[in-house]
This record gives sequence, C-alpha cells and structure tokens, in this order.
Amino acid sequence: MSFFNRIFYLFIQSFKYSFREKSTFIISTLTISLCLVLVFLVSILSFYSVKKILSMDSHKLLVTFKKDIEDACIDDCIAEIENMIEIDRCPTCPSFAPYKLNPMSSDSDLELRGKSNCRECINNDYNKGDKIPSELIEGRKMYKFICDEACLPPSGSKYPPYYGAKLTNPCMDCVDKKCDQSIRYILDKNSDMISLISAGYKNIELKNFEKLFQRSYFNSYRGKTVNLPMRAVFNINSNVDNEDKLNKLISDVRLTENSNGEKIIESVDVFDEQKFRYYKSLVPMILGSAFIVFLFAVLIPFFIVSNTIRLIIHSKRHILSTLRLLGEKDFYIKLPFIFQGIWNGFLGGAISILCIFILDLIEFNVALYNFINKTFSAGPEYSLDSDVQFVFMDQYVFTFFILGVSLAIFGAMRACSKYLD
Amino acid sequence: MIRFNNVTATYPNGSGIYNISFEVNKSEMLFLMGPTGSGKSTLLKAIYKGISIDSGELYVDNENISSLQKAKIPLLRRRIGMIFQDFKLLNDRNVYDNIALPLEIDGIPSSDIQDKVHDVLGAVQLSGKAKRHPLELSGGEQQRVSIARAIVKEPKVLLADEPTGNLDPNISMEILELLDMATDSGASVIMCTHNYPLIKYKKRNFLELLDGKIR
Repeated sequence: MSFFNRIFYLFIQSFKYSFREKSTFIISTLTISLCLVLVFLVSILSFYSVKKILSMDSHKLLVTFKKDIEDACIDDCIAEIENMIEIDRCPTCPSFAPYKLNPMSSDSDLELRGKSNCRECINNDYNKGDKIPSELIEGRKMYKFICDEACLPPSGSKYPPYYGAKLTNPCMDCVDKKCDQSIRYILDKNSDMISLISAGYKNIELKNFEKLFQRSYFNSYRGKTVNLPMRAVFNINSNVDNEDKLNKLISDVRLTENSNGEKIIESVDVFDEQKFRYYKSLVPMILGSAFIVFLFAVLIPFFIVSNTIRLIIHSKRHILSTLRLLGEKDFYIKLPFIFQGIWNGFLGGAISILCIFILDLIEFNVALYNFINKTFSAGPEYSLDSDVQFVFMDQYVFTFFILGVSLAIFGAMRACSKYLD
Repeated sequence: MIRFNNVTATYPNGSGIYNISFEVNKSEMLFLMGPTGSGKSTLLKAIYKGISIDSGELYVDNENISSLQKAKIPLLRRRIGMIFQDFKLLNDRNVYDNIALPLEIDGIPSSDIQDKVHDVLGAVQLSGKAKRHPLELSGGEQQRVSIARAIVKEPKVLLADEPTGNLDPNISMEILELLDMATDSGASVIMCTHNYPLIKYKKRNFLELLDGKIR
C-alpha cells in the first residue's frame, strides 16, 4: 500500500473507529460545537458592546424634533396651500368621485372617505402584484407608503398629483425644503453646536423600525408625507466642559425656533457623561471577561478531545502494543488518533455553524442588538450604528472549521504524546 | 545471528539480566530455561529493544543494537518474529488479516501478501480458517495463527516467549514442531519456557537463567 493510500485508508478507518466509540465521540463533538458557539456569541457580544461604548462621546447632543413640525410648516407654504388645486378624481382610478383633499389638515370625514376609496382602488389596481404580505403591515401604513408612489399620475397625465404625492407636488416640495431647515436653525443659532453627526429622516427611520419589528410604534408621526428629520445628533464644542455650560446649551437648543418663530424641538438629550465614563471603565472588564470565556471555551474542547483520545488509546492499548511489537512506526500508530481528533473538530465546527445559522434564523441577532442597546444606553434614542450581524461569509465558516479542527488536533496530539510515547 | 556480549539490562527497580553472554547461530534453536522471574522474558525484550541495554553489546544479524536509535526500533522488530504466551492477536481482525498485518506494515503489495498468507496458512494447517476471528478458535489454533504471523515474513530471528504456556501437552508438541520447522528454514529461534519435560528430549541448546544471570 503506498504512503498516500495508507494515509487515506487510516483517515477513513479513523471515522469508523470514532463511530465505534459512539457516546464518547458524540459528547466530545457536541462539546466542541457548544464551545465554538459560545466563543462566537461572546465575541459578537463583546465586539458590539465595546463598539457601542467607544462610539459614545460625551460631547454629543441628541435632538428630537417635534412630531407636529410638519404642521408648523403650514405657514411656510401658505401661498401654495391657498392656490392648491382641487383634485377631481383619483389619477389611478378615474371613476373615483371628486374630492378636495387637503394635505395640510387632519383627516376630515371627506378625506377619510376619499382615502378609503382610493385605497380600495389602489388595492384593486396597484397592489395586485405586490409581494409584501399585507396582513403583516398595518393598513394605514401600507396605504400611505404605497399611496405615495402609487398615486403619482402616469407620466404625461393631465391629472395633478394625488394627496401624498410629494415628489411632484410643488407645495410639498416647498414644505420639505422649508421645514428641513430645522437642522440648520440649530447649528446657526447655537455656536457651541459644531456639526451634525447624523440625522434620522422620517421615511427611513419608520421603515427601519417596521422592518425590524414588523409593526409601527410611530403612528403619531404618520399621516404627513413630508420627509423631515425625526432626530439628529450633533457634535458639541469641547469648551462645553461642565454641567452649567451644558445645561445652558441644552436650554438654548430647546428654544430653537423656525423662521415663523415656532419652537421645533421636542427634547434634547445629552449623552450622560457619568454613564459614559462608567461604560468606558467597563471596556477592559468586558474584554477581559470575553478573553477568559474565550480561553475556557477554547481549552475545554482541547482537554475534552485529549481525554476522549486518551480513553480510546486506553481501550486499544493491547492492540497498540501488538502493533509496536510487529514493528509499526509511531507515526502510523498515532495518525489514526490525530484523524479521530480531526473528525471530532470537523463535525464540531459543522454543528456550531448550523447552530449559529439557526440562531440567525430566529433573529437572535436582533435580541443581541436590543440587549446591547438597553444595557449600554447613554441616551434614549441612541442605538448602535449598525445591526448586529451574524455574517455568513466564507471566511467565518472557514475560521470556525479551522478553530474546531485545530483544537481537536492539538488535543489529540497532546493525548498521543502523553499516553502513547 | 544473535550474540550477547556481557549484556546487562535492568528495570528501574533493579531487576533484569546481568552480564549475559551467549550466541545463537543461523538455524539454531535455543531453549531458555528458568523459574518465573529469572529474566527469560527480559532477555527476549533486550533483543527486540523492549528494554534498553545498560551495558555490553548485543548483535542481531551482525548489527549492534545496544545503542539503537529509537526511530530504528520498528525496523529492527520487523526483522524479528515474535510469539507470545497470550498470542497477542487482534481480535477485531480475522485470521487472514492478523497474519497479513506484519506484511502490510512492511509495505508489501497486497497481491504478494495474499500468496504468502495462503502459503503460511497451509504450513500451520489453518487453510480453512482464514475468515475466522481469533476468539472463534481454540487456544492451540490461536497460537498457530500467532506462529504463522511470526514466520510469514520469513524472519532471521524468531523469539517465542512461553508459547506453550497455556496449551495442553499434545498441542504444545505441535507448536514445538512448527518452531522446529522455522529453524529448519534458516531462522534462529530462542524459546523461553519453564516446561522442562516438554523440551528435555529435544537435541537443542539450553540456557538456564536464575536471578538474571546464566546459571
């Protein structure tokens, strides 16, 4: 038998031998997979926790804009409203009776009937090919989102845009432009507000929440079609280094008004300096704990495999001594045990990948995301920049296999060198 | 073929063999006699390097193995056939596989292995039992399998450690005949035994050990 044939033969035989020691093999394989899953979760948890903590900054202010900010925009655009044309029929459904639908006022009975009719019309027409399961989404939201797009008149149509079709409605366009000055108002009127870090625009924010939770918690923000920021995060000047200065800045920002003299700020939150420092002091502890868990989670499979191989060696000691007496080389005596370790690690790695896939499937990452955000919260609306991802890329899978197999090989080698030499 | 020259080999507790000198030539059989614990098995161990040699020189097939490197021990053992009182057969393999094992270890092609194993099975009169497993055989048959395994690679040196220890007198005689056969075919055989009545009629060399020394 040639060298490679013999190696291959031993590799296959080793799996059969492993399977003979069923319970030991299964226990060690499951332990490896469990530890690898633990390593993965601890890594993810500590990585995102530290990422969140380090992304905090004491010199940040979170500003939440008033939800009726759109109403405050009415006056910005009064001329357009006065000149608003009457819509005499639904552009997508010409049989629809004429209604005057005012985008700026709250829903009147007339409007509700109009919307209801149009919704029915849209449902019959535009939603036919819609793949979104409508039962998952509140009717109103569905209506609004789809209506925004669906009620645009066909290109070249003589019909004006329908209610909500802000893209081509000059009035809505005007409202958007004027009201979205809110961020500039804050920056212009408060010299200690240095720059905008991020702004959460309504359309995107609401869609994100809906995507994440499959329902809306922000109905009160709905009903208006103007895409305005719901919140914004600003860098503040490093001169604002004590509580008095900070409080003054917060009260100044709270008083920010639009061009009509109306207050546009709902609330201002400062990232809690004390909490921030506390969290930052936790970083070494988090990393240290993660390292310890990692170390144990790595050592456990190492010793489990080592012990499993030891038991197998012990059960085969007579065979091994016979092989030695017959002149078998140490290499070929040890190799089957190393291969058994490889099988152990390979299957352990595969099971752990499967477990992580299942965790991903049941959206355990969302639970982790919420957990991290709630645990390390320095501001009410300040969340991780990105979702917690259980990324399934080739290198992750590869890393897991390598880690599992390496641990098992080292465990097997330890057993061989300790109990076979 | 085998030459001991003032060989001393001891275990950590001090027991072992001391200043042993003798020679076994080609086609010779030597009976090692002595009570239990006299050092018979230790002397055989010294030949197949189951124990390290403290002093003296030990030649196997004209090669001094006194300070043989550890990595070369398997190669030495491949040149030696060994038979034990407890047979040391692999119970999860059948008779054929057990006999073929030393040849596989030597890296001999499987077609050659087949011929050799069938020949030796015939020599030990086990031709019809190639597919049997050791535990399905009698003690005498198991020892014959063990002898077949030892002689299949036609070794120059054959060591038998109490090969008749567990067998009845008739079977023991058969085993001795097989060892005689190996001797006739050119092997140097050393057989340990404390069963003097079995071998007293054999016209062979005898060596008696007592407390690790030649008496």
